[in-house]
Amino acid sequence: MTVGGRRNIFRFAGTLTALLVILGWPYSFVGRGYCSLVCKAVNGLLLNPTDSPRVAQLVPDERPGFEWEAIATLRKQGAKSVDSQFNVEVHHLFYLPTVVFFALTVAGKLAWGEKRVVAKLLLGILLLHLRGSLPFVCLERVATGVAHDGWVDKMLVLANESLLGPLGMTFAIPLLMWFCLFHPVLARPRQTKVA
Amino acid sequence: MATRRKGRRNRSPTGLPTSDPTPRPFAWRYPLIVAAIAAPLLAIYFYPYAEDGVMAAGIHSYLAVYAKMVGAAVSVFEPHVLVTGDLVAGPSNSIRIVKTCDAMEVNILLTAALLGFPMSLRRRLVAVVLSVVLLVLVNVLRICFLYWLGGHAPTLFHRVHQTFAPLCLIVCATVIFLVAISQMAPRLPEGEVGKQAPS
Repeated sequence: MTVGGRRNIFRFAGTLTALLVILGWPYSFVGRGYCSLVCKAVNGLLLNPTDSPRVAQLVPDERPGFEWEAIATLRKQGAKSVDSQFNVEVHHLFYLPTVVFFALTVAGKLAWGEKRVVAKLLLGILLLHLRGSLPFVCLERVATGVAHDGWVDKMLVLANESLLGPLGMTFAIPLLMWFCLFHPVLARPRQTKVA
Repeated sequence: MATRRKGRRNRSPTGLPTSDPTPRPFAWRYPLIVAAIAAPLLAIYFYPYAEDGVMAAGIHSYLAVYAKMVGAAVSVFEPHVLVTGDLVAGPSNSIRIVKTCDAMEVNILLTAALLGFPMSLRRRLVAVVLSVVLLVLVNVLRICFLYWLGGHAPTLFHRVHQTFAPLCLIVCATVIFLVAISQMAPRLPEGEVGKQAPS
């Protein structure tokens, strides 16, 4: 993929702006529809026990004005179980990284007819959504009592802290993913004349 | 096998800037090197240390120094600013500098991207030092702007803090990276680009 021209930059900025405007769209069904899809996907990833009530669940926030948010419910198992609920900014965890990745991909010259290009785009979006699901997997392990001080949980916590905690990662991760998947090449090579 | 040899011959001396199709081995080698440098640095910084441990105390001291820098910058446009530990308090607003406010993730990624770039060690180190200093200045400006915004337009604070400020920082880091490699990468004679391996 060749990038770096002004046209690429304008196309990226235009696509990103258009997709960010959707966040402030007056019609609530866009946000609610996206939230519902994400909640279904995340709930499908969680390994909730089938013989008892779900210990971790993500449901869209029904309150007006919170179309891009969801509510995560966590039911800790055991005698001293206390349910906890917290708000999840779906637009920040899932929508923004996807939008940045999509805008970067659209900005480059792509052969949309090729199956490989479409497959890479879908793979990137899938990986970004898996990244967003990471905190729920960690929380579910804590809730179900699966989590212990093993290296798997330490790695999960570390990945959660470093890939989702910092705000910059919302934009850095899709940029790096785009770089890895599409191998961008700058349009004009830098050359110098030697006397 | 033939393709691989061809790919090696066509490898760009400056890494990215070549009009030739990027050969597979290089296309994956650079991201892997960057990941190998960035992963341990991110792990060291973001590991959930015990609150009474040495590392947590070290990070807290470092954030206090960062808060002093921010306080000094804020005092340019707002007098009577007090810095206590990691808290910057002024007449119109007060902010606490926490672990991710220093944009360490962006600094680490930029450092890894420059350290992994194929150029001499001296050039890499100079590029890293200059870029990180510049990025720290940009981040201090970002925090100053957020401080001002919190006092004057609090309704916008959350959206700007969560969305636009990190986006600006990543764009700045990308621009710094591109400028750094365009200025620091070895210059080659015209017509030699894409023919030689990096020295």
